[in-house]
Amino acid sequence: MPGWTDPKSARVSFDDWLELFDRVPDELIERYHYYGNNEAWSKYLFPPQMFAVYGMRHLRRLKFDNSLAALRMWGFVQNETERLFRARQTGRRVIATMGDLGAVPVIVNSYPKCVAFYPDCIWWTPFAMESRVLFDAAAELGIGDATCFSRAALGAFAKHSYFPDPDLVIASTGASCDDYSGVEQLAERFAREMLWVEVPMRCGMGPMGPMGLMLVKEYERVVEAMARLTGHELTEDELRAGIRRTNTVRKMVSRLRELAFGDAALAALEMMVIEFGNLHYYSDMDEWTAVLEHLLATAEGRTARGERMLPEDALRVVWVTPPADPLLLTYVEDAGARVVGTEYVINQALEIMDESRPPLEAIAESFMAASLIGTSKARTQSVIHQARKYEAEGVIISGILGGSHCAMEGRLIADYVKAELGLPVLEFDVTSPSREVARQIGTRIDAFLEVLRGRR
Amino acid sequence: MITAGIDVGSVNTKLVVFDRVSQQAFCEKVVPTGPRPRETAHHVLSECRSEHKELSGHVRGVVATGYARHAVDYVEGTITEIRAAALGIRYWHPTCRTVIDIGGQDSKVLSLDESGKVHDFVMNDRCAAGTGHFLSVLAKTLSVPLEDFGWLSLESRRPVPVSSLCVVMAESEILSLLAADTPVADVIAGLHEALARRVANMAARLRVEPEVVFTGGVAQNPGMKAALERALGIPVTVARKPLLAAALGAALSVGETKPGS
Repeated sequence: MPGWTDPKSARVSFDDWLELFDRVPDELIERYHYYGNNEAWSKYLFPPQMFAVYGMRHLRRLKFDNSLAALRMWGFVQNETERLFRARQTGRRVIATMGDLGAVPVIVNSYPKCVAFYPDCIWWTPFAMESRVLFDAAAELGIGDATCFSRAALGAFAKHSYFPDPDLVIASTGASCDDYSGVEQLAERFAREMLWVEVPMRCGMGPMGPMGLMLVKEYERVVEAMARLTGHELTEDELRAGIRRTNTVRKMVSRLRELAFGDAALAALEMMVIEFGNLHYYSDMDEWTAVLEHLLATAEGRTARGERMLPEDALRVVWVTPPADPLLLTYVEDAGARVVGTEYVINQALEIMDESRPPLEAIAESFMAASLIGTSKARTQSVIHQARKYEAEGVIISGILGGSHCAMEGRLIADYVKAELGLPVLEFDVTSPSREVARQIGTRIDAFLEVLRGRR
Repeated sequence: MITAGIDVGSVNTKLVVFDRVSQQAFCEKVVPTGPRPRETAHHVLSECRSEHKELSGHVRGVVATGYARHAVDYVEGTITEIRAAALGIRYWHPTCRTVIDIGGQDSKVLSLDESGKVHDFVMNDRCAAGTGHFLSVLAKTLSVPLEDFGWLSLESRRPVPVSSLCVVMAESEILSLLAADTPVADVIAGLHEALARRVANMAARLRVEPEVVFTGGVAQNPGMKAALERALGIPVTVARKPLLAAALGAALSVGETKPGS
C-alpha cells in the first residue's frame, strides 16, 4: 500500500493502535468506502478508539492484529450499524435474515439493491458494550436470563437504533435453536412483514433427501416474498451469480482458516470476525470481498516470510461454540495458547455450493450440512477432524449460560472428543457482560493450559 | 533449598516456607484473607520474616496461588490452585490419583496420572452450591458452630434428604424441616449428603481412582469425609494438612513457573 508498510506481525493493544493510526497516510483513509461510492460519509478506516467512543468499551481490553488489512476489517465491521441506516437512506432494501446463519442471504443478496443482515449477530453487542441494556429490553418483552444471549436481538428490535426497521424479516425456525425461535416469535411485533421459513432436521438422510427438498420449497417462498417486496423477478442467472460471489468469499475464508490454524498467520479474534463475515458479509458483499482479499494477501505474505502472530510453541486448541465474550480469545492467547480449529455452529456458511446444480438446490444442499440441524455427535466430527488435522492438544467448549443447546450439548461433545481422541476438554459457560474474564473462568483456563503443558 | 508458597484463598491466606533438603516446613501460617488480599499476603510474609530472622537471604523464591494470586505482586510467579493442590497433595500422599478439594468459594476434583501430573479436572459452577460456603451459611441458619457441624452430622441416625443445593432454597427447605421437628443432626447429615452427592456427580466426569485424597477447608469436617465415602463408594483419605496443601504445592513449584503474572 502506498505510504504504508505493515510492522512486524504482532497482537497490539487498543492504545498501540492509536499510535499506529497516526502513521496511516490520509490517502489510505480516503481510499476505503462502503457501498462502492466515494462519498465522504462512506469512509470506514477508523481506529478502534472511534468505536469505543460510541459505546464499544470492550475494545479497550482486546488485542488486535497490527496490519492495515486488520485495521480495515475492524473499521468495516464496527461500521455496520451506520452502514445499514445508510442503506435505507440510499434506496436499498434492508432485509433481516434470522436463525439459519448463512443460507437465505445468498438469495437476498442476489437481488439488486437489497442488503441482508443478521440481527442474530447483535448477541456480541452487550459484551462489546459491557452493558445489559439489550438484555434488559428483551426481558421487558418476556425473554429473560434463562435463554441464549441471542435474545439481545429482540432488545435491538425494540430499541429501533441498532439497525433500521427491516423492510422484510425472514425468520428461520424449526430444527434450529429453540431459544432463538422464541426471540423471533417475540420480534414479529416489530416486523413490517415476517416470512417464516421452516428449517428441517437432517435426520441422517442424504442432503437432498425429503428434508432437503422441503427446504428448496421453503426457499421458493423466500424468492416469492422477495419478488413481492422488490417487484423484481429473479432470474436463474442472477441467482447463479450470487452463488458464485458467495463461493468466492467462502473459498477465501477457507484459505484464511488454513493460514490461521496451520501457520498462525492470523489470531483467533480476527479469525472469528472473518468466519462470521460469511453469514452476511457485514451488509456489503463487494466491500467485504475486498477486505478479505486484503486480509488474505497479508496472511499469505506473513506465511511466505515465516512470520507468525503467535509463538510456534503455543498450545494448540480447537474452540467449540463462538465465545460471546471476545475477550476470552485474547485471554487464551495471552495465556500461551492459540486456536487451531473452530466449530462455531456456522459450518453451513463455510460450505462451497455446487455451481452446477439448480441454484436453490445448491443453497439447500450446503445448508443441510449445518451442525445446527444435526446431532451433537455429527457436530463433534468436525471438531475431531480439525483436531487431527492441526494436531490440537485440547478442546475448549464455551457455552452460553441459559442457552438451551449448550446445557446438554457441551457435555456430549466433551465425552465424544475424550472417547475418540483422548484429548483434555475444558467446558465452561460464559455468564454475562463484564469488564474482565470472570476469575473462576480464568482459573479454569489457566489450569487447563497447565494440564496441556504438562502433557507435552 | 528453601522456598515459599502463598495461597490466597477466598476465606484464608496460607503460607508455607519449606526446606526441600530437610523436607521440613520452617513456617506455616493461616490467616483470614479479609477484603484486601494483597495486604493480607504481604502481612503474612512480613510476619514470617520477623519470626524467622534466620531465613533472611535464604528463601530462593515465592510462588503465589489461590483465587487472588494475581494480586500478589512480589512473587516470582503464579500457578493455579489446581496445579498447586496436585503438587502439595502428591508430596504428602505419593500414591494419590484423585484429589477432591472443597474450599470456601469453589470445589474441584483432580485426576492425577502416575507421575502426579494433573491429567484432567472439573470445577463447580459459579454459585456457592458444592462449596464450603454452602455449609457455613447453613450452619449460621441452624445456629450451630461450623466446627461442630461435621461431628453433629455423624450423630444422625436418619439423614433427611435435602434436595436444594442453592443456598437460598436450601435455607428455606431446612427451616421447613425444623418446623416439622426434624432433629437438627438429621438435617445437618442431609446437607452433607447433598453436598457429597454434588461433588460425586462432578467426580463422575473423571476417572475416580484410589487413593482419593480430600483437601481444602471442608476436609477438616469429619462428616463430609464420611458423606463423600458413601457417595463415591470408596475410602477417602483426609489430606495431611488440608488447609496448607496448595501453599506447599506453590512452594514446591518455585523454579518451575513463568516469571511474574
